[in-house]
Amino acid sequence: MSFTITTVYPDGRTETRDATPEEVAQRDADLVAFEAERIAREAAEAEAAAAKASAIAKLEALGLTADEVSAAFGLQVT
Amino acid sequence: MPTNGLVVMTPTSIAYSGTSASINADGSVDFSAVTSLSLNGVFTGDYDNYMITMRMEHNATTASSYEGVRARLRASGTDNSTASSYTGQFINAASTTVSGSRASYDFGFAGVAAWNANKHNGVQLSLFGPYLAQPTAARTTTISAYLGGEIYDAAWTHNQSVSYDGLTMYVTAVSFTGLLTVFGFNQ
Repeated sequence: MSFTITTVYPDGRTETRDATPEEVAQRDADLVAFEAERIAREAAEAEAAAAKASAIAKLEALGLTADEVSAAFGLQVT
Repeated sequence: MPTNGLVVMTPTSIAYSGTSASINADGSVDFSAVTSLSLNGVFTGDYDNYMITMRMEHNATTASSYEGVRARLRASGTDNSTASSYTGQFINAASTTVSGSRASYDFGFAGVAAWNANKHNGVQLSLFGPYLAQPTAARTTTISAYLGGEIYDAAWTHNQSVSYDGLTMYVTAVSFTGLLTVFGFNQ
């Protein structure tokens, strides 16, 4: 996607130009990479949250209280 | 020649995409809703090491649209985006959770910000030897307003033996606003 770049000098002069094809390509690549990272990060966070909830449920099924789960395993039961 | 201490490095120019940016008379740089901000001519042969202090906020309004502010070292107006040339070790502490990670990218790290718009965040970015034609080390410490207070610490290196005179900070899908000053360590 095209965009403009404005250069500013200490004396206040400005120059605005269209981004070069290389700059546009870099931004497009950055956007694709960021979106892929976001999807992967959110999937990893969801997986970790599910694993934590499963562990807490199994510990509670064994008879541990929320305080015991927290003290022994550092898991906050919400 | 200034006495020992921090010396303000006024950019020879800045370049931005987004709403606005300007160089103040005291050498600091104001920026508003930019998606990229390049600082040119801030690293010179006069000093080896530099510090950038920055306050900023970022316009993401949902967790899924959140992203950190990234950085690329810059030589004569061209950013270095060599694949896997920036390697970072990260420590994040929010609430009672402390986590760490490590990865290599084609960018370094200029800080994070709470994703709630209008929350202010502070960044100190130290760069060691960016103008020297050798690999560069950097450390970004962020105080994020997320949850009222969050620490995000990124130690990163860039493996290219290139002399850089500037730095670009950028985001991809949001924008960021704030003020920064670049200092050289004079000794």
